[in-house]
Amino acid sequence: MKRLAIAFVVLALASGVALADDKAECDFLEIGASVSKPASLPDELKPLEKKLQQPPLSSYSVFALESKGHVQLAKLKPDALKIVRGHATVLLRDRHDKRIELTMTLDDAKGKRVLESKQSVSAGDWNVWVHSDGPSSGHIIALMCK
Amino acid sequence: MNKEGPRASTGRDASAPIDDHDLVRAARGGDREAFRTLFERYHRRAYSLAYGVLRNQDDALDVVQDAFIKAHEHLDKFEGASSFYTWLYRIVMNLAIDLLRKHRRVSPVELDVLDAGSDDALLPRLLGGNPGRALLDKEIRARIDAALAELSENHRTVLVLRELEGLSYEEMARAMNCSKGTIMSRLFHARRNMQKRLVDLLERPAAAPANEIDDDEVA
Amino acid sequence: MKPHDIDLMQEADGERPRAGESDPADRDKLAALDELHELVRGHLEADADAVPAARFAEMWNAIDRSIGAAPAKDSAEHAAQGPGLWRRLSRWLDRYRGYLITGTVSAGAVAALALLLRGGSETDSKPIETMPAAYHPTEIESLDTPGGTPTVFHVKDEDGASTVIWVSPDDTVEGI
Repeated sequence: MKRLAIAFVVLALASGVALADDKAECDFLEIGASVSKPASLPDELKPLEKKLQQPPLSSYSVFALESKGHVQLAKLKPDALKIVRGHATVLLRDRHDKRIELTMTLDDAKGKRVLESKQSVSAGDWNVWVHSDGPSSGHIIALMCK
Repeated sequence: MNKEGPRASTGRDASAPIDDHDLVRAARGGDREAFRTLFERYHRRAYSLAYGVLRNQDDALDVVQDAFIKAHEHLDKFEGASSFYTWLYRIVMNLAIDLLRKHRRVSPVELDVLDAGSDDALLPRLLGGNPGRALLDKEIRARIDAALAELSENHRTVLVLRELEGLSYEEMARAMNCSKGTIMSRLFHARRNMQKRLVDLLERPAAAPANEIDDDEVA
Repeated sequence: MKPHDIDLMQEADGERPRAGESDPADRDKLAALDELHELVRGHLEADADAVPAARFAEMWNAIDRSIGAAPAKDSAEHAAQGPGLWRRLSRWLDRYRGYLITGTVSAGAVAALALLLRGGSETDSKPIETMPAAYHPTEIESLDTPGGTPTVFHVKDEDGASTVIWVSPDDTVEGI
């Protein structure tokens, strides 16, 4: 009986691990950035403050949160990020423990593809895509997956 | 030295970042991982400083390595009045300046010119107010690199200390063993020369920069 | 040099109170000094970022060998106190994160560490795992930016690391 219980626990743990390797929990922020005075950063973006204050993002002075959300990615199932400007998708291609392989696409508001990137990221690190869409403005998507 | 030893730090606010002084204390006690954490924290910053002054990757890497070894050797002399990095950058600076002196084949002629009457003036902005984005441009990066390399060692050193480390004139004067007036003059000329070279390069990409005059004003 | 410009430079450097904000020409010169500061600082920091992590890993190995040969002064005193906090920290990070965070260890990691340490030293009896030489930043496998030029930055700060992919439109010369 004890052995059966142990086997059950081992099986449950093993399936848990397999499940975890097929998924990723991601938070995203959509940010409008511009160069003007006075500089401003809303409270919702405080977690990213240090990154926004370093080059290259420090080239902008005004940051506004346009949308934010959470997605649970399942392996090989593309998910759309609910952003207000354009269209963005993210795909979990593979995962090995803390290393997550993603494909990200971003289209602008006119439906024109801005970028498609395949990257291998570390869980918990922020990855930021910036589309410089004007002489002094930018559209930023920041994504952090765990 | 904390009388309770390194474990005392677990009683701190757990949400606070680990303090350099705690790391120094632990490293002083033989904890190499603590010293490694200090290394992880500051090696690139120290390298920026060394490379900014020396403009040679291998020399800069050697200086940073020697600086950390020296810092470890003398950890018992670090009193904690300043930050660990402030202490480290002084070591980096001294080693970098020593290396410059060793490599110098010909002693530079420093002209102590009092030229307050000249028309040498600061230029208005160059890049339309967006330097961060200008740094995205490889071409501009290459031009900044060339402009820095063409500054005299003294001008470059003072510029790097000010722009990278934010040292006051007084601190720079102490670090470089000269007067505050000389620092002011070097800094002014360094900036003016950088501006001039960048404007020249931006307007005439192929143009060779003019020779720099190392005209320090000694107050 | 123009004495007035020397004054302006001192104002920009915080060596004397700012007074040049009211005159447009002075304001431009002050802005130019700020601009040059950003250019030089950003450029030097980017130079440092361009050095492969492996070079610094080699450097650490050399430092570690050197300091191992010459232990710090009061190591005997600390040796009596068992494994150091930082040794345990690195083991913990190694086990749970796979790499040492560059810069300041995150608040969450410290909080978890504090909980772990309360459990006592017996939990640390496992052999130390090999720690990777350096932090592994995001690896870009492919990047397609139709109509734009991409630049990739690895940014480190006290909160950890991040990667910025910046797409500039091809039809503009930015920043000039």
